[in-house]
Amino acid sequence: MTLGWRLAPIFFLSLRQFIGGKAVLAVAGLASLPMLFSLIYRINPDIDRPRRYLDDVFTEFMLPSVLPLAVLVLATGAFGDELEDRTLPYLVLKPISRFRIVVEKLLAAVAISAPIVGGFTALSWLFVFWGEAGDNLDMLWGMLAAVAVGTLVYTAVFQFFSLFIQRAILASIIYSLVWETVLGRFIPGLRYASIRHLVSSVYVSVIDDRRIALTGSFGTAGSVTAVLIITAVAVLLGTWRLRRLNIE
Amino acid sequence: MATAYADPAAPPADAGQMLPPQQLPGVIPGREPTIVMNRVSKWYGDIVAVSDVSFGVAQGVTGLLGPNGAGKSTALKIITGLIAPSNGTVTILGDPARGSPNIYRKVGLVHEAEHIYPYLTGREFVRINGVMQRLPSLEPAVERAIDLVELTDAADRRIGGYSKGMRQRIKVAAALVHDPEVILMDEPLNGMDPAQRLQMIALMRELGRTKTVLVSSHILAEVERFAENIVVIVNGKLAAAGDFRAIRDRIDAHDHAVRITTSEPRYLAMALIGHPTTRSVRIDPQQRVIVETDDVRGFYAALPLLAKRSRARLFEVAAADESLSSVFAYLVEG
Repeated sequence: MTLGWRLAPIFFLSLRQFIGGKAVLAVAGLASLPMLFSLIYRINPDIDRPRRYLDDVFTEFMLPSVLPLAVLVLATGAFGDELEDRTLPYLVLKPISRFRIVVEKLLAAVAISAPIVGGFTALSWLFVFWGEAGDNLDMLWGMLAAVAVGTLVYTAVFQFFSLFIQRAILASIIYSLVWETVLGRFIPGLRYASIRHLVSSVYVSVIDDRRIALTGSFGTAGSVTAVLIITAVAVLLGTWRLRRLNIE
Repeated sequence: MATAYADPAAPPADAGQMLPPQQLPGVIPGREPTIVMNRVSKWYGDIVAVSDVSFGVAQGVTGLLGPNGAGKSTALKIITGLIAPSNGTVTILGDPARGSPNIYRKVGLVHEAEHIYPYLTGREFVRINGVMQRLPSLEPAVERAIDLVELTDAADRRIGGYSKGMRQRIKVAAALVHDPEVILMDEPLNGMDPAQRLQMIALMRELGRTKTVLVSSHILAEVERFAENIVVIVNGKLAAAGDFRAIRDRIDAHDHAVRITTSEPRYLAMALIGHPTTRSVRIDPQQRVIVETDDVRGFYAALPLLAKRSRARLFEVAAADESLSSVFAYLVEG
């Protein structure tokens, strides 16, 4: 057994759990959806200017809908599958703190989701900027930074949901579609209280292009700080919940 | 050896008043109880799963006996800290299990759930349990645990391809990998074939020489083969606790119904009807012989000879389920 397994057994056990399951295919399926728009653009490049087109796809479709939906699959499954299969006792009846269990599960879900979502995001970018990719690398870095930060914070929040709510997938979908997508769009003040706004702030800050602007952006430092605070709160609440959970 | 019975006629102790460990039912004088369950109740809304149960378990093998749905698994989960009691306290080796992860260095649980990570091999499963216990010399401990359950040949196969009996054995190996002082087993013999059962019973006895082993089962005859002490739970209440033989004598004094599947039900029934241990005989619609007896041990001793005389081949001899429940109910009623 490698040193990695010895240092973080729950992380590596969870990786095996995710890789061996069908959930990872669902993540890939959802994460590949923006590629369809990129292919449409490749077929008909006269639709719009490429930067504007990809920015619209990323900020209006990818960040509010695809990213949370792709991430929630593994985030809710991290504990949900263990509870459903009744394997959680194998983890909690060990001399390991609940905090560590929550953190290792979170990191495992992020370690699988982020490369998949990031990979398909990069492919979407490549299809749109085919032949002129070198001039638009800033956009790729901005999108990947947003995906990385978004995957972390959404995974933490949805993992926390899975420890609190029996129908965590449904709750996560409702949260993603209602709070992050619909309400954030139609109620101006609410937008600033959404994860989507924080992740979008990271995106526009990294790109640093006047044509791609976000009203009320928190900037990179502010957004990343806020994301880390939300993640930490979700982890601590998840730990608290796991300590009190009755495992039948 | 003392036998302590829960006395339903005794006035209940004041709410919240804990019993001294040495006065708990099941505690053997001179032996410090390792597991102490003190006035524990667990309810889910209006449903009471465990009702004011107190007992102590010391070193040796103790059977946790009761019909299906009696509250055995709930009691085991409360002891391990998987679920919180609604009332009362539980300690293992003097510490509460719930909220103290370090206690699990000394405790091993064979969980009732059948599902184990199917993508791991048996060896990987035992090994990861050892890693989570932070064992200093991991591989020798893994080999020892797998060897204890005699699963060395199949250890490198994926658990997804294991039979139910093999899954039970690998769960036992995982629970023993860190050589715990206290071992809790929830229906560990389920799904095992007769040879595996014999091997597991021998292992339980061996472990009981130096450790505290608490094994739940709903089969009285099975518990008799490995437990020196028993705790009987019926309908969430403690029915009896203490020395197995003394409690067995009480159980044996009660009428039992035995169901016999045989090649010659009528001839066997005729042979049984005149035997002094038999109170009544009937043949059910499935052509099985149902016998009521007030001396179950005498009956079991006489049955082979009676079957031979009536030239009846015996396919199955089992306690009728309703009989087992009535035996447990009898214990509750006192």
